[in-house]
Amino acid sequence: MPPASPAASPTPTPTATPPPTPAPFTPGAGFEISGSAADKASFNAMVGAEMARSPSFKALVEAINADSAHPTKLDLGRNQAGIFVDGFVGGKMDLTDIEKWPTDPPADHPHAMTQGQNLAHVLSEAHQKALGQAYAAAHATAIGDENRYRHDRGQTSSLRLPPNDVVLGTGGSVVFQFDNGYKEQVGRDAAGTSITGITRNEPPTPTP
Amino acid sequence: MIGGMSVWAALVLSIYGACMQRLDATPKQTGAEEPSPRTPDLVAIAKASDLVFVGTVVQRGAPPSFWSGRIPAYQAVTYRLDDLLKGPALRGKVVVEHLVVGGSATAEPGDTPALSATMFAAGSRLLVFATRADERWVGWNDVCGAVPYDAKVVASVRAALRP
Repeated sequence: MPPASPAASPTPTPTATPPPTPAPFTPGAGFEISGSAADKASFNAMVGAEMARSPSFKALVEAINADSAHPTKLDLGRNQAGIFVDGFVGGKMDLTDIEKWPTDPPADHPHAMTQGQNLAHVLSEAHQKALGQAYAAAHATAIGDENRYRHDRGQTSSLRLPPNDVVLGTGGSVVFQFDNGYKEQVGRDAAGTSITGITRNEPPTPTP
Repeated sequence: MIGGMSVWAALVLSIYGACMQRLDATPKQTGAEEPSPRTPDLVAIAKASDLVFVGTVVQRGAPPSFWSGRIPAYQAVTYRLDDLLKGPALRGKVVVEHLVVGGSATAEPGDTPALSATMFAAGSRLLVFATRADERWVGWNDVCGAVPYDAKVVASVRAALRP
């Protein structure tokens, strides 16, 4: 029997193949990570996933991992006193806060912040501290790295440079300010150290 | 007293030492009017600042609930402006939001986030460096955003800022 012509063949319906789960990151000599086994596993999975999403993030992590002369210290935990997302001194990082951000920007908020953006900032800033930088300089460098991550993800706006990156909002919230007018308001609990919600404010539409 | 040294004197040495350590890459000035060895660092900060003044602390605002990190933490300080070295012609009181960074020269020792209660005590006279941030004045330097008043240092900074 002759083979069926291509025109006669029904076109197979493409089935979405889920992308393979990226391998967890394996910290090397450039990192000194403390915390529970569960938190370390969460952190390594998060870093591995973001390395697969962003070339600049991957390069940042690999650079830190190779810098055994200046090990970057991270003390993983959840809801630590006096820590909101992370602390420059002591390297404490609140995974619960980081996990409040989505891995991908919501469809209706293309400029929204993500876990990866915040992770890029935390890792970059911690590495700058390991290199001996004071906070102000380290924070500015970290904003550059998080903006590179955003651009890798196709986001066209950038977090404003310090000290215009964050301002206090209503009700004890903090507001991240972007160069296109997008603002992300992060609510805090009564203690002021845990994220209670995220409100995304799109930039004003230009009037014709 | 700390080993025969007043708390304030110890603070002065600590802060200036920290400035020198952090900013030791700043080019040193040379010439007949070379300021004292510790001033070039502050001169660099002054030149990069939008507002430089000698002020007396009137009050400290509420401390933040967290230390600076991914999100900068600030504590407001209200000053009586005594001597303006650089910036717009401000008068009376000025509010500067200072960074609160754990372990820094301007922070309170310990685990509770706050500016140094000794350095920023009401009545303290400080040389303050601030940056304009939208509608705010921000002390965007966790090491040397403010330093205890020293007449010689102020004179050197003023001289360096002259056009």
